[in-house]
Amino acid sequence: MSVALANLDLLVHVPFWDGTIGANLGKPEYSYYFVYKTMLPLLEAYGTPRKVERLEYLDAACAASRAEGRQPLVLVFAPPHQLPLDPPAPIVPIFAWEFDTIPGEHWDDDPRHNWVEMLRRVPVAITHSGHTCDVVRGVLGADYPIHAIPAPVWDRFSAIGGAGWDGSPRQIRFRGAVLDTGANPSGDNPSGTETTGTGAEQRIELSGVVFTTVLNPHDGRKNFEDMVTAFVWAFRETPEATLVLKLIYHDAATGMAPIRRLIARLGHFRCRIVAICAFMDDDAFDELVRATAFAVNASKGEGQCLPLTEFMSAGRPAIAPPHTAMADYVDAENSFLLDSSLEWTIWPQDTRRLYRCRRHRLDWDSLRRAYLEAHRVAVQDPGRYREMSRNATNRLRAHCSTDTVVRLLRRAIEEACANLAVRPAPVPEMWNRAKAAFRSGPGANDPGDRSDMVGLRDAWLSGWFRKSTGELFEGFAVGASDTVVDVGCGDGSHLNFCALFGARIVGVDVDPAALGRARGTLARNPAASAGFLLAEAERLPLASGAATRVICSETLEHVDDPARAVAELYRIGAPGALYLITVPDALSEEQQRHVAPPAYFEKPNHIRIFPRDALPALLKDAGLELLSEAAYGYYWSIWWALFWACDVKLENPDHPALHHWAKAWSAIIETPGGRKLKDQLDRFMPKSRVYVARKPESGPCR
Amino acid sequence: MHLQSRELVFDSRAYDAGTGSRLSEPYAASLVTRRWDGSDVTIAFGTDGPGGEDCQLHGFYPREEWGLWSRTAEPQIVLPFALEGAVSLALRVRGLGTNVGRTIAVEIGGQDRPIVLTEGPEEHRLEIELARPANVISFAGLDARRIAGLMDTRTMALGLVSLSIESRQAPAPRRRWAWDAAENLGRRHVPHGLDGIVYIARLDPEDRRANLEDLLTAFCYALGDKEDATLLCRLGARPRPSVVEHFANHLTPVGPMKCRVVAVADATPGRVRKMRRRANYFVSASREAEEIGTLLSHLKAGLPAVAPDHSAFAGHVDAATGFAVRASPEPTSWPGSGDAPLDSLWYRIDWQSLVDGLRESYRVAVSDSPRYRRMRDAARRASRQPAAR
Repeated sequence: MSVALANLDLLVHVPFWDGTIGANLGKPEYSYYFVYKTMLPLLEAYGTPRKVERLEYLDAACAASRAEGRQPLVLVFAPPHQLPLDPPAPIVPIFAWEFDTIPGEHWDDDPRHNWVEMLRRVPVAITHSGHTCDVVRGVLGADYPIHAIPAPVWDRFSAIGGAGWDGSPRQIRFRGAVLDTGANPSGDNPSGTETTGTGAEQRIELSGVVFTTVLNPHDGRKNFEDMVTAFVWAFRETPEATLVLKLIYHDAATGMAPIRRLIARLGHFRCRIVAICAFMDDDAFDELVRATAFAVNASKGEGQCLPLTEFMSAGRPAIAPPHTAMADYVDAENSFLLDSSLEWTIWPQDTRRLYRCRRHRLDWDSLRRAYLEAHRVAVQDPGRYREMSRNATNRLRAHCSTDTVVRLLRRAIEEACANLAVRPAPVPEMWNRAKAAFRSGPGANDPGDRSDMVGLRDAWLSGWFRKSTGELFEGFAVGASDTVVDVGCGDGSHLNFCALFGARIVGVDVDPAALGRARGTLARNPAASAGFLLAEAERLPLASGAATRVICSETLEHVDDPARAVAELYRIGAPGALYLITVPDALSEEQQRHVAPPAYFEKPNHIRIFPRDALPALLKDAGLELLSEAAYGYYWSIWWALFWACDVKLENPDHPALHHWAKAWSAIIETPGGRKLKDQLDRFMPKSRVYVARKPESGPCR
Repeated sequence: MHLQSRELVFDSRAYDAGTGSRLSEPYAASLVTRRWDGSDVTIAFGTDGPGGEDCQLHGFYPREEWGLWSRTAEPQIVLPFALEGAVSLALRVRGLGTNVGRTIAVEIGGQDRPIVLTEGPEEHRLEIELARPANVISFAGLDARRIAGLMDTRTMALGLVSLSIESRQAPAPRRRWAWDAAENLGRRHVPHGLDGIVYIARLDPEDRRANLEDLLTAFCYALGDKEDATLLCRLGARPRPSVVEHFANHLTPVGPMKCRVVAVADATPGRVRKMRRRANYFVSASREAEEIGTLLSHLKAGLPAVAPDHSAFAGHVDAATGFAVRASPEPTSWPGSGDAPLDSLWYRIDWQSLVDGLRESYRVAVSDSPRYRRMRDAARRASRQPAAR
């Protein structure tokens, strides 16, 4: 089944919108904004795309488009780990990448870092280079639907290229900061003059052989150091050679500092270095392009390199290494090629900072030689220069003209439509996934108000997952000296929380598939020593007194003999061990009974409903001391009731009623009386009852 | 052959791979160099603070004026002496980012004590009754992720300002344990045998020219999955204790690996000869060929080389005598670093070509013995000839 293009409703989201971009220049996502800006007009072919300002509003936007009888498709200009886990409609990520592997694992307890899994769940992916397509297909298969679509910059820049570079003086006016070493024929004052302050009006004149680069000086991948040092080594005694560093950075003082420091180390030189830190308007930038003879790139990897495609579209030959994205458009006929080899590095978003991929290490001397050769061609071989200039603009027309990009976009969107039904999102069970996601964010205790996290915020408010105190649930703290056994561990998310605090953990389940998932969850947690056992709760293959913490969550309603299971739980606990036991609440279960399919109440699902007073008696009979009893999850009682009523799949619980309920509950708990109301409703009809108990220090021997 | 405890400075197998790069307790015990007489000790970790010169700080960034920041989630202070009996520790520490308000564990001698980190430095007094001698104080439970939005991209979590130690027992008991631990525990727990394919290097980890980083990362990338591959780094006669941190720093981002990295102090000329005989290859990632003598002495011993063929090495390292690693010039400052003028050139190693050389040399040593023998012979001959440049 595919969706007709005419019925498609495109929604777009980008991390920054026009109002905020100035303050965010140089930050990682800023180039996503520029790509968005250039592609947006081409997307008009599919009707006016609806902007979704924040991902939190996505639910409502998709519901609105469905209400009009249309199929929403969301284009998000962001890397895969910034997509929502639980999108209300299919999402197409548009992202840049420059390394030779993509993450197939996650960290910080945020499953979204696993790009392989995130990319499996989208109808198509869009990136900007053949390199990235190859890397992704290498993992996800040669037929994985990923498209290399560059930003369409050729039409605008080929037009301003004009007759080409001629070395004549050009004036550029803008407001911002400038560091200019001047033509400096004496070479005595290489540190030059500097005007700082973003408000200052500037006028600089450029002439001669101008090499230009556009980069963020604090992005280590861009490698301005090699660009500057090789330039000075090549042209120390050549006053008519100029290197322009157009810096993209939101704060001029910080942006300029590393350039100033480097220049101070270069000693005597007569060539000219001009560093500009300013947000130029189009006129000024166009004039800079016209003054430029060569565009320079010395980076360790590029996802696309917008500035290089712009300058080359304008007929400016490049000095660049033909690797990563540049391999798509840089060649020996339009550029002076640099050599590089590979080196080990980290994925930039990986907070663990482990070597997982490779980037390119430049051959510095090849850059020095390329500068000299380019200069020679510009000054002595105008025929060859014009030829390279023509080759550059022609190659870039084929690469990133509007015509090309329109065609590429159409192919990608058509394939997305065809895949909407073919590639459903095979997501893990919602509740457990949400639990894992809860612990994401920079050390977050409180999941905040993200709409995909309503259930988790609700759980947190009820006392779950207290990271600051190491309590899985209030009163059930876990530390490094504990051995935690989770009977009915499912996908291991409770154990994962315990592992974060250094505990030794053991997972027990009757379902081999669940154990496999638990192993996967815990494998990504390097702090844990973990063991897994396939066993029934009534017969635990563990030594008596082995555990200092015992978890048995939403499990006893599945087992044949709960009394025997609790007796086993008692047996494996050490004297003084703490117990965390939860079961579904009777009222909530009674209510589900009327709406859920019969299989929900048959083996291996729930085979019994515990009356509200049953568990305390069961625990006491086994010899445990009950420390606290709590009830939580009114939100989930209603969510499940709606879930059955909506008749959707658990793997993709996509229904306006469910989305609206999540939004409504999110709003309710933030009202002034919200917490009190939640408390009352949780008591009235909780999803689960939670018991914390203790094995007495000297109890009956069993 | 077996390495001796007294010559072993670092062994990647003594690190607890499961928790990143934490020193195992027995290994830490082997770093004990003197006895504690029970007198009070105060160590200020700032650059001009008193004491702690021979204290090893594992999993921290370099000292700053006020103290130092942790780098890993489980940093350790390794004392040069063992504590025994009832001791009072006064730790002055602070937290950063999400670690402020966080409860972390301070562990010593198998016991742990919780402390709550504060925004500014605060002193925590810990009274500990040690059942067994211990010389390592470990921290656990830190959130060692980069702090979002901070220009400083280091993984700082715990700020360590000072540590005071008092013995609560008088008179001080005889402390013989420390020496026994170094001799016995160290020997028992650290696998000292030297097996498999051994690459020998001679370098000073603190000399930037020696390029320890490329050597370690290329070795682990090329042979990380080979249990029988060992990189044996000779550090000279008296390496400073701080060199361990260089190895740990470079190996932390590598994560768990099967190959082995060992660093040794040169004990006697006889031991050096023995190591050289045991090795299969000489390896270097040097940015300058200042140690041509080292290369020649290893070639002379019949060791083919995996080394760059720049400057004075040129003519000695080629396809006949080993595996030439590509390199090209880049500017540097000599001899300083930081903001010193860039006034000379040295070599930038082609990292991938070093990886390729290591992989191919391993393959030859394991499964192409005729070629390996030819290289050995060529190496001996080359060491007798002046370089053809």
